[in-house]
Amino acid sequence: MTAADIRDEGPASGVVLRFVAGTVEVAGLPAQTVGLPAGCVWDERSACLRAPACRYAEVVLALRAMKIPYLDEARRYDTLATPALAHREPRPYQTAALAAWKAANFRGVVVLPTGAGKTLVAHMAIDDRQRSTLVVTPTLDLVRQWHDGLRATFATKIGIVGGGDYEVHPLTVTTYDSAYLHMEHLGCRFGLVVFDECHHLPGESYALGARFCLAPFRLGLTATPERTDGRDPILDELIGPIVYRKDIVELAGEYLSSYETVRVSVDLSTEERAEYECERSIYRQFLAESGISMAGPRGFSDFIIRSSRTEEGQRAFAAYRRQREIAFTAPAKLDYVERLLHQHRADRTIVFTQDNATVYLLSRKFLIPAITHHTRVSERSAILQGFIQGDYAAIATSKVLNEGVDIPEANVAIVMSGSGSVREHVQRLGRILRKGEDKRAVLYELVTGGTSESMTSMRRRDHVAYR
Amino acid sequence: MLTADLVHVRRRGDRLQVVPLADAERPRARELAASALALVHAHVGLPRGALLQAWAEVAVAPSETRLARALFKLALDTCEFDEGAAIDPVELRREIFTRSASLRRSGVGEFARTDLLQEIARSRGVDVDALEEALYADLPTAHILRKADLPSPDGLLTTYELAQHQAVLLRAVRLHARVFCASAAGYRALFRKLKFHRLLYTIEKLGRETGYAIDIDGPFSLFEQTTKYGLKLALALPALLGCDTWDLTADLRWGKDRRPLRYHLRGGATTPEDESAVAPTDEIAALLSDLRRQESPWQASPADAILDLPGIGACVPDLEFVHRETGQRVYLEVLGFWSRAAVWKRIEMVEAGLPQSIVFAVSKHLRVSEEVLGDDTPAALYVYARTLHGRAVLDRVEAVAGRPTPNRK
Repeated sequence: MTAADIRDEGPASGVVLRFVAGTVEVAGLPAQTVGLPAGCVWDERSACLRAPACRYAEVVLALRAMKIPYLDEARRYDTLATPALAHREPRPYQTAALAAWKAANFRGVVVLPTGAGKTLVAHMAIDDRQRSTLVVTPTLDLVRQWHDGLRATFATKIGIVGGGDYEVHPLTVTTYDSAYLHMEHLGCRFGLVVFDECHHLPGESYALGARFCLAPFRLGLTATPERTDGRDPILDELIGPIVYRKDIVELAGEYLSSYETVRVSVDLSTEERAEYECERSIYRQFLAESGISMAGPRGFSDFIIRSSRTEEGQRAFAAYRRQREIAFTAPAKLDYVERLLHQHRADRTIVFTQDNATVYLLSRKFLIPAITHHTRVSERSAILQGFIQGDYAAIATSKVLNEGVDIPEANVAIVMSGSGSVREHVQRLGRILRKGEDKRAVLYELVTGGTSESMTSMRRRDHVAYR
Repeated sequence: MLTADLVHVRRRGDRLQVVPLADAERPRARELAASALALVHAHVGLPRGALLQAWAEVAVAPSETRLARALFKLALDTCEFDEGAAIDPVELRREIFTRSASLRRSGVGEFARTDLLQEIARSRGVDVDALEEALYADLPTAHILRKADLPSPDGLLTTYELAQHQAVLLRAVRLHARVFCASAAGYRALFRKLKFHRLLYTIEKLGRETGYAIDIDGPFSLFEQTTKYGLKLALALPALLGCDTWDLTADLRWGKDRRPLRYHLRGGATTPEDESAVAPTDEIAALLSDLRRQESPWQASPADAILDLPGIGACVPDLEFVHRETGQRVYLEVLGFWSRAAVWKRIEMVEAGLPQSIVFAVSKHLRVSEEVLGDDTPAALYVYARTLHGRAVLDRVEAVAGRPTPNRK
């Protein structure tokens, strides 16, 4: 009996599994049925048992264990028509990662540093399972990159959902945002789901996308699974446990480029220093008078709420922004960037900033391309292609190139400003670490001395990669 | 639509209330609305960035900031922007940045930014300022405000008051409503809107009263209190406001900590009924037109009835077919591609003894077979591919009319 044969049979034919809007309906069993997984409950509205789609495999296993025959209309994924046509020789740690994932029943997270070749692990997993696969990525840049990589390996048409495209094929790439929007329709069509940069997944909405999907096989890829909000254990439920892990220092030299990090402290001029101190004192005084501790978990949101209530508060908020702006875009930093761009004019440099305004400032001042979330996909692709070919020696960006995007030619990073996030800082370093012949990468971190940025810098360097 | 930070609410225990504009506040609110509208009007033809900058400079007391921002947001929602660049910015950037990279690579001395821009400006026949302006003319802040469909200040305040409730419902996980309409048209407008948004609902007649109780949510809410359906619930609110009397209770997840709160709202038909929702949909209008071309003893017209089976639920047919000679009635409810669960609910109603004859039109995308309903019931499924065909509907109307209903057995 084929899927087409069983599609039109109603619930009267016995036990039937159906995928409905991110859930699995189990029709034909009484409400009191025992032995089904805990998440499978009676739904009065449609008079059937219902489970979140992510429980599909457990429901099937339970029915099999109870020897209850069923028609499976829920599963609508296929076996891939062709295996991978191109095979790259995996490195030993990639083979070990795949073996660990297989040993964990094809569910789990592989943690490898940027540039270590997580994508190849996913290609090997797809080839091993031979099931329709959905790859979920955080950005459209990565959608494009996965699309090209899968097409090269599997020599078949690759679907894209997101950024205005909606084309579904047995191998499809999408973004976390699109997965959240569309998984209630698409969640039955894939047997394997790959969550790239899976530390994004535990967010409330994105997690729902994973729950709406019935794929029994799940692979998560990340360099940095830990989250500051402590929600990373949810990855266990949505994908599986961490099954394999290697850090940057374990692979640097042999599999990643060797690198150095240079911290450069610049000074404010006398006038800038006076303005910085003045603005900072206004902001600090408001915090003290309001009893707000910015170190606390709710510090910043308390500050936003309370500063909006009075004129003094609004002035304090403006002061907060100005003192940050002075530290982040100190003219001495811009001068230093100019010097570095000249020094590395034969290299490929990525300048990272904390905000888009600074990206456009750098782009206008130094006449280098900018990539932000406003940059359209076609222009991003052209810029990255130009960068790879050497038409551009430098690009400026804020956060959109922090993770994932594969630019092996990049060998210099200049962090002009950033957050205190360790993950962000490690990811930025990772952008220049892909192995190349005789390649030595260097990351410059520009910090305005005697400002709060010094503390921010200390926080983000709290990682083995910067010791 | 407003975001949660622009809603003026207060918490009372486990309840959330929208704080309405007090009579004393209304004149000032009208002034703020007028300022926002005037500012937008004055910026037609100018960049978005200039409008946002001008608004940032409008002096507003801290206590009025949220109201002012909300009114400005709603005024901004009426605007149409587009790129105003005479020079293609993407192409200009490509030229400037490749030449700049080449210059920097070859240059031993200082990078001559001004010289390069002057040279490119000359070759394009513009001055350097125009070149600099065009460089990022496609950024949202550089987009030109072309048109604004601005309401009056009072109209903006009305929009604001509805938007406050809608913004609260964005955080709703489910909604319970009781509705009372003098005519079936009001109910039909409401249920059509719910179907349109693919929300799941159960409806029950309210005892001896004339209204209905409706529970609205989505399939996944059985497992997790998700606000995924919040936008659809918010968009369905205007249809609810069209009922003669109504009240609703929404379960919310509010704030960053997603605190469970309840929200109550009640009202009469203070809002004009949404005519577009009451009028037949394009799909049904096309079917009616097709039916009129068919030779048939059945006369079709929009239905007024609500078919109700106590304890099981109710459905709201779209059309009724009256036999010209016998006066017999058959109903048609178009379920389209709304919800498979809704189809099973209808089947359950038929099997439980729905006393009327009825045809349910269901898109083939819902993957339901017409055979699900047997020949011994006064109901039929019509599974259609893309378009509802009058002849096919009439065939099924004829078929179900010949079958006994529970009343006629």
